[in-house]
Amino acid sequence: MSAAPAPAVPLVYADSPPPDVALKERVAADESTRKPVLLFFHSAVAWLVIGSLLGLVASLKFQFPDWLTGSAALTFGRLRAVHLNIVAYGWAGMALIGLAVWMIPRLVRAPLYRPGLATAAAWGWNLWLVLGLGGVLAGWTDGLEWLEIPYPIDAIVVVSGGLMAVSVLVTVARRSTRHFYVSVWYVLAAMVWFPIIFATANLPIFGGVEQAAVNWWYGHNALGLFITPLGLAAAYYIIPKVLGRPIQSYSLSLVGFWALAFFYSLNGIHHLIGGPLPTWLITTSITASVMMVIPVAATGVNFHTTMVGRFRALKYSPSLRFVVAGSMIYTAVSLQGSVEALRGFNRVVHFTHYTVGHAHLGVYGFASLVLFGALYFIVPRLVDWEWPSGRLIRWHFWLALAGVLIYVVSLTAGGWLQGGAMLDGARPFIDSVNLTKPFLIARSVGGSLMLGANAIFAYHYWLAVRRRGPARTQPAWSDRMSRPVITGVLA
Amino acid sequence: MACLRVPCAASILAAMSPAAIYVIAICFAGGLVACGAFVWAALRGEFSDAAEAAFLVFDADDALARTDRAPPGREGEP
Repeated sequence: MSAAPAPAVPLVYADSPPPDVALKERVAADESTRKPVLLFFHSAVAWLVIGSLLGLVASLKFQFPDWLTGSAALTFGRLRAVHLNIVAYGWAGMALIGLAVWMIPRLVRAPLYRPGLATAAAWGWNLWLVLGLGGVLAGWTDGLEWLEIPYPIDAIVVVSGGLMAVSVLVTVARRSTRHFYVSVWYVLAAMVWFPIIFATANLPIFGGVEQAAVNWWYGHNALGLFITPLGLAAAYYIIPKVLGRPIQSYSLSLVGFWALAFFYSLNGIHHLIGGPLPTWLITTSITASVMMVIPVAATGVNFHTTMVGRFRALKYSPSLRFVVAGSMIYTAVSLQGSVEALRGFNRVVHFTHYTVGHAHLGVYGFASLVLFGALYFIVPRLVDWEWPSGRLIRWHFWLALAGVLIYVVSLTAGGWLQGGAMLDGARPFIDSVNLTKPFLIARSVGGSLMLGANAIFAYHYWLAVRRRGPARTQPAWSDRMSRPVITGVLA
Repeated sequence: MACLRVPCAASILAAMSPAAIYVIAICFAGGLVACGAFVWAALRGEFSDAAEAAFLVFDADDALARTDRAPPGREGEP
């Protein structure tokens, strides 16, 4: 006689209302967010395709330097800046905010406060990007990396961000839960941090070295205090949800959050190693960069131990597959960043393509993959329609992963060799340029694959929101693998 | 004379631009908010019964598991 199976632990929060009430609350929460979230997602997907297309054009200019030089707007300097801003603020920024708006009412069990504010914020954010990037293409720019959009136009996003923050923060204030889930901590922090760093860095009161310090304080924090926390919030939501088991160590997840909160904000100044800044400032930044190992290890270990024994779920869940791949890359890119901040290493890779590879590993390998996974989870719930094609999801995943890996590996190797050549006083500078040529071709190949992946995703997204394809009772993802269905019980 | 040997507030402020003072004030205020949030979280028991909060993610989810459901016959796979 076999032993009776152990009763499953109910996946219910202790203070939950009765199931029927909880279901009504969840439905009300989803209904309140549908319109603004769809607007954020539609915009983000459109910006993704435009941004990655411009990135590829900029990359191809390394192979065809005389291409598209007739107009100043299409020169490398302007296209590259527009690509960065579109991808960072248009794609990642809007998709992450949409994700936060969708998650928060579910996690605090309260409908979104005045959804019209969030909708207005999405329109305002788009207006800011259209006017700002139009200005950059026309040659009107603040001339600072990550802050190219002219500061008078930035007033639009300050207002939009304020409306967004009011909607989210009041929703949290009206919560019916006793605790904050760790994703709520990350979202709240990002909603507070980003306006502070953005408004401060855009003040027209800085000059010289001081401006460079504030510029990189902002540039790095835009990644670490805006994109990273929202990306991790998504991962902490999707992984337990799909697996049907809580995160392995909730306490460790809080350690990760608070360590990021205390260490990250000083990181940016490591971009200015070798610059005319006080040594203590640079050293403090390097120390903080190395201290980031603590939150990164806490998060990486937590995700991994949650997945242990359940890796087969990756086969069925595209959401999980993208989010887990993105989370693993988060660990890798963060540890790489800590090493890059060390003076000896930085001496070689500074001013090389290595840094460009690192940035793409962060924004595409980590943030974008997590976002794709989150959208695969959320969109069917928003439009009440299954993704039409499992094949398109598979193509999207493998093209995106192959593209970013080819891109990053080639620029990492090429950048390292480039740095070595620049440090060798016996070699002419042009050697450091010529030796990167094959790596830059590989960069364009990787970029093409990523653009292909993004275009497939955008097309598939359009099909899903238009409710095209068959009305399914089973996920499209399982089309291929469900043929040899195991219906019997193994003895 | 004391200011020449041990920097006092007046000499530090005189050496800094208004912009630097503004950034330091912003960072100081941000740090206070972060520390305040940490203390507030500790006082309201966010860290003492943290394991309970891990279950917040499991709300009354929709009936359809959508794209992430395993195909028929394989639901119980780890």
